[in-house]
Amino acid sequence: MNAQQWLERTTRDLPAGVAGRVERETRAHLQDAGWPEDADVRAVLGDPEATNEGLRRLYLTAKELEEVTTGGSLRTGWNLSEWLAGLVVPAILLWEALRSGVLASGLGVAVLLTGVALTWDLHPARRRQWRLMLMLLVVSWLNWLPRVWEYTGWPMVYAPLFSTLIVVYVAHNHLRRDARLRRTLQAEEGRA
Amino acid sequence: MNSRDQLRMLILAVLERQPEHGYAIAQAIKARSEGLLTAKEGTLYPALHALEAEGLVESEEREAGGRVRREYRLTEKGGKALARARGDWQKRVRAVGAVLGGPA
Repeated sequence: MNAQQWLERTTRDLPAGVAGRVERETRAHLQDAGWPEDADVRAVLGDPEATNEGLRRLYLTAKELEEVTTGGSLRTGWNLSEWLAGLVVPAILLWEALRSGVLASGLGVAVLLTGVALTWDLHPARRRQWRLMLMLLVVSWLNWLPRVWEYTGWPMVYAPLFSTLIVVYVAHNHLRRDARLRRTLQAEEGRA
Repeated sequence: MNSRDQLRMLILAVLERQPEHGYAIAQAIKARSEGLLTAKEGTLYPALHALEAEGLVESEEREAGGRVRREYRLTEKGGKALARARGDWQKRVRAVGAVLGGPA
């Protein structure tokens, strides 16, 4: 397997900025090792599939990046999600909190508005993802998940625990995905 | 400590002496371990990228003698992480040594 074939496998599905950086480093590595690019490079570089897997854990794929930056197939009304998360949903929750005095709705408003403030300076793609996720988590925690629990017929006293565990799990996954997005955006913005 | 963590520690230890580019890091690991440890490019660069994303190393592309190389250097945070990893490693070595016993 020559260098070009190795690189094609290693950078498969990765965005151009990430692939470019890997390619530059790999070619420099082979040059320093005095290893011809047309020889079998696996002895020096290792398994391309394992490297591709390692890079996918660090970075989003080109398709995933396109989805988070453009909205992918759900592009219609994509920018609406920021308005929903930053204004419409907090306004509904605030109205609900004032009308019925539900403390949890007030807490939801506080979480959403804090989220809007904290994500203000982020890259637009990360900001949109964070606001959308926060909105979904708050609404799920307040409404959807307790209703799902209710359907099970188990004691409602455990509903907040169930909702919180699900929200923590989803938030944890989102943090990991956000770290991949942050790295990918850095690599894409730094590409030559 | 798994092999991934070991590689991270070795990279940080190499960069503690001076900033290096990828190939030089791989060579330093091989030379210092007398050929016992090797870091193939395929695992080395994803590890370097991950360390950089965590702020433990930083990198910059530099041109030297007509060749462009990305040079990695240890950050202050990386230095602290290395000190912790070293402490953990030495504890493990002492523990395994105590269990294995044998001639001193």
